[in-house]
Amino acid sequence: MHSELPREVNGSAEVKPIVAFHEVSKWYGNVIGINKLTIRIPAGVTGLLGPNGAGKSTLLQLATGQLYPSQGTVRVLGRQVWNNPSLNRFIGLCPEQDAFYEWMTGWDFVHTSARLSGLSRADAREAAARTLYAVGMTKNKDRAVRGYSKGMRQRTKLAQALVHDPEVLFLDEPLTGTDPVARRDLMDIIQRLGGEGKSVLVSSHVLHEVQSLTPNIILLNHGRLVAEGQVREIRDLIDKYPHHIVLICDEYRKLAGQVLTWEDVEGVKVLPKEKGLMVETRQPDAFYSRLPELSLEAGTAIKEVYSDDDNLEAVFKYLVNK
Amino acid sequence: MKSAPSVEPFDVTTHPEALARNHPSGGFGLTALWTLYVLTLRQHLHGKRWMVMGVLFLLPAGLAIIVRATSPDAPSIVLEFLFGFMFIPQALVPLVALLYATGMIQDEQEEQTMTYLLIRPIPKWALYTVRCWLP
Repeated sequence: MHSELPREVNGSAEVKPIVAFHEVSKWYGNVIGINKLTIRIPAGVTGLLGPNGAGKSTLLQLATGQLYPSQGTVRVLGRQVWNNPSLNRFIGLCPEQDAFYEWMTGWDFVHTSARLSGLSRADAREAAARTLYAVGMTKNKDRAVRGYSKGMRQRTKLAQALVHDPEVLFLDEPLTGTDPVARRDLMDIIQRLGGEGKSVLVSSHVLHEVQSLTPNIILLNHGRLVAEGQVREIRDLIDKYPHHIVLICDEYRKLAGQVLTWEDVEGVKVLPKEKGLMVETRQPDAFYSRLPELSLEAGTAIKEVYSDDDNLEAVFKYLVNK
Repeated sequence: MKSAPSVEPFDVTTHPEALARNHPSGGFGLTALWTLYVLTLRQHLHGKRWMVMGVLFLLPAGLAIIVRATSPDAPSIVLEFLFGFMFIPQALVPLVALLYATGMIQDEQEEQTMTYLLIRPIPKWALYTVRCWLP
């Protein structure tokens, strides 16, 4: 199976993907939604990151068979997605749009979703009760959806995605617009689902949200794959590009002169206000290794070192803007 | 939540345990279609179009009652006209049904609730057939 797909590059053994895109493009007239995308997403929780308009929702719509790819093939659980409605029994989607049948109650909405998935009346009742409980909506299940807060609406959307107990979950910006409590609860639920063996693909444009959910991330921008893999691998990737390190030191001008003699330093910017300097280097590890020695030298005692790129937000910004 | 099945990711769509759980009726079942039919009916009833339809159908009868109550000696030509008027809505039924059905699908797309139907194990042709045939 999947012999036409490329092997995992960074793994020694071939990893069977849950979701596989091969040379997939999707055009909307002249606008490119997804551009020759080839990815293999393994089991577990994976974060799909990218700024607005990066192609995240298009990717999820392609993966759930709502859109037909203009080019390439999309497979989920080894099955062709397009025109394969039976595959939807194994897939759950929490869409981004805040759309509901507003006149329904939360219970009605989730129960109807279960019935639409083919569950019998008794099974649907049990499943609706179970999932509403799991997302913390049991207390409010009999209220009309139109009266729900944003957090309740997101929980209810998640419940309809879970109600038929799918193997693969696609969550499109599930935390958007939620209050801190709902956000924490939803993150707990997603982590729990991952712990239960579900495969979850969570899209977000905020890195720290995904960072706390999973180390496995896929970065998209302009419909193209920017990077994929573990956070650490992505950090390694960006280490090939200019890395900005800030050094705080009383004698920052003297320090600037010294670091400029190092070949791996590509630039130095003096920061008079902070009494420091920002160093640009493509070899941060080598640079960091020399710092203790430099700091011990008379007159160049470094008080503080930090990297502007030393958090996922910076990694994300860097990768999508490069 | 149920515990995860111990199946290989690739085998899940053919694994008997997973199939029994996720595929209770095999193929696309009547349950889903019936639910879709009921949902469509409920959407019709929650919309305002049915009120327009109701007024259209009741208007001739209402006029006839008013004429009968206020003018017991109304000329037969008037009564004949009202009788003929009563058939106008029936003549318009196919057109109204078409507008009704396409309006519903358009509403679904505009309100973005169509997604909830497209991600269910219901073939697209069945989805649109049920949506369009109900009226």
